[in-house]
Amino acid sequence: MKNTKIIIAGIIGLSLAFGTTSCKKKGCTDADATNYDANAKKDDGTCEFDTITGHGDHNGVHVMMKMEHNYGGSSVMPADFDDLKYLNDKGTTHSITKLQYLISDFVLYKADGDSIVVEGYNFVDFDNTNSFAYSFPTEMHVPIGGYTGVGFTWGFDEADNTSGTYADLNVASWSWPAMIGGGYHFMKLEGKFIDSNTDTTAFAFHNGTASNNGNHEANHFYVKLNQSFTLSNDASINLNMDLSEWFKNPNQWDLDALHDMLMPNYTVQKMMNANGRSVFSLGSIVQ
Amino acid sequence: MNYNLILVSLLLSISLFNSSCRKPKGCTDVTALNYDVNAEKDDGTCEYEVIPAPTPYTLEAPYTISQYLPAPSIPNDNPLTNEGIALGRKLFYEEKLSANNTISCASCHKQENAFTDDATFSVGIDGIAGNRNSMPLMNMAWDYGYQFFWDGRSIGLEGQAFEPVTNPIEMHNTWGSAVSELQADDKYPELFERAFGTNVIDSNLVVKALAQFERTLISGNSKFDKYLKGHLTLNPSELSGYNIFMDESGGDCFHCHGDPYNPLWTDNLYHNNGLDASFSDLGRGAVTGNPSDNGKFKTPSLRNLLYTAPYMHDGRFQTIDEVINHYSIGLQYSSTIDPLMKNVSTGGVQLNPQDRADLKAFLLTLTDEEFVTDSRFSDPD
Repeated sequence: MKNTKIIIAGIIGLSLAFGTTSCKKKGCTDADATNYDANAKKDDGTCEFDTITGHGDHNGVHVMMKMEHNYGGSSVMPADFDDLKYLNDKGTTHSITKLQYLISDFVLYKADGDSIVVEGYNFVDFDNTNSFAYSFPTEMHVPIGGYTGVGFTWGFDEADNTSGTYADLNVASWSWPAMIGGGYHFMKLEGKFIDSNTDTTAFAFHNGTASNNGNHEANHFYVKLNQSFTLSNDASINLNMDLSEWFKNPNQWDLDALHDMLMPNYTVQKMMNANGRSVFSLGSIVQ
Repeated sequence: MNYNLILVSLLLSISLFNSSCRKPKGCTDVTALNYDVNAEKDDGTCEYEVIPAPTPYTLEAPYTISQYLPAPSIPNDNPLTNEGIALGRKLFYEEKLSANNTISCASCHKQENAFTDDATFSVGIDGIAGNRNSMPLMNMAWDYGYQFFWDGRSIGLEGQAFEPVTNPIEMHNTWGSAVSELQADDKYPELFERAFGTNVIDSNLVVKALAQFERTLISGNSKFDKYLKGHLTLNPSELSGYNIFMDESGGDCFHCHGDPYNPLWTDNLYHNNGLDASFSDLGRGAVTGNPSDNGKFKTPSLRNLLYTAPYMHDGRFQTIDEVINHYSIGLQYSSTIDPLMKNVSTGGVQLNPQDRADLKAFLLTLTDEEFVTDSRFSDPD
């Protein structure tokens, strides 16, 4: 991954100036970026964030993100897998047999307006519960003080989503086929459901690049969870994923119609992208 | 008092007499270089041949594997050495490991079959067949799950190698007996000394040597590897088959069987691939005790498929065509069937005859002829 770096004002000014001279429709659509373009309708992957590393700040603290999972509020652990016990928004009963997903480039938003970006990724795998915890690099001392929220990227942004780059993901057979854009899966959510004929049918809800007849479109999104907190000690920040949201908001999911061959389906990939935005919430912060 | 003095003097004179007698001294150890046949008393001067420390060996990963996969997984307590690998190779072909000296590892893991058996079930020394097809052996240093056999019941290659020697329907031996035979051999003690620094053989050292050799069984020079290197092109049928393999709406093989960036061509995980509606062999489930694992078996690599027939854990399919037909129209529903098995109610992915032929053409590009002829892997004796 890219190294965390400090972007100085001069470069930001330059890139802003450059941004405004280019096409108005594309640009950085993240309101928290230093080069946020209010006129941009489509993100072109150029967002830049005012970052500080915290290196050498010995007053800083260590931070760990902890992933927790629930289904409409009920905790989901590996032991809950395989049972047909979940009822989605449409009223379909289903199980979960596999859950793996990828989140990257965590951001801690400081109250003073700065952001701390931790370049890297966490491959969360229910077959390896150690992956639920993601520690920021130990050399990274996060400044103590007030914060307004936590963010991260769902999947990989375009710059990071390059095929063959990450050996651990390669061997996990996590690659997204080149014919539909390449890069990596963002999620594999699999299970069984009771279909309209009362038969038990499988679903494979895999998310990644959206591809439409050879046109590939980045399908990551930024998550920003606003919550004021003060860091005064080493901290564990809990992030919750509500799995029911994948099937709910804004697109109520019809598993009978959409349960397999979802990867090459552009519309479906964008629906997952839309539903994913309400999946996460910030939990307790223990320090 | 006087009497005592006389006794002391007597004892003194006896001991003086003895030391002046000059029993021949020298090295009395027959295994020493300077063994003195005339010496009756060892004087601590024995000299021995200094066995050099084993030479470390580094696995050479082929291009596709080194390019995309993490470093190989080698246990800290069994580093690879030239001497260990050479010993392991000799042991792999050693029939003394079996109770009646008739079969070796290689009897059921034949190089010409990419180190599997062309028999559906291998037959042990007592003429009894097993109930699972022998697994091919290749690229196992990159199997990070570190579980072996179709059901993953053994941890590590060292752990795996313990089992066939004592399995009553395989080598039907005891480790005590196997080790005694090796210890009595005129070559093995020195080979163990060179590999592990001791000529006292035990089963732990035997499996370590076997595991070292097995880690060198690397296949990475198939036609498809050469294609990825840019050294050759695939023909239209092979390319079409590759696309079917990689297409979730086509064959959707890649989710379990790897892709260009996972050139092991297996995920090394356990799946129920819809072979049967009910199970006569619980597979992984019998190991974990978890009913959700019933009917699951470890994904085998597709590398060298041409050589590894018959297919599946029970060797039920004799040809690649039968395998492709299974996923196309032959799937059977059971409660643990993998969600990646599609259209189970109609039997599978319904590839048409042309698609099936193309898929087979692609699968055959995973053939690595060098692997099955590599003289480094053959019987050293």
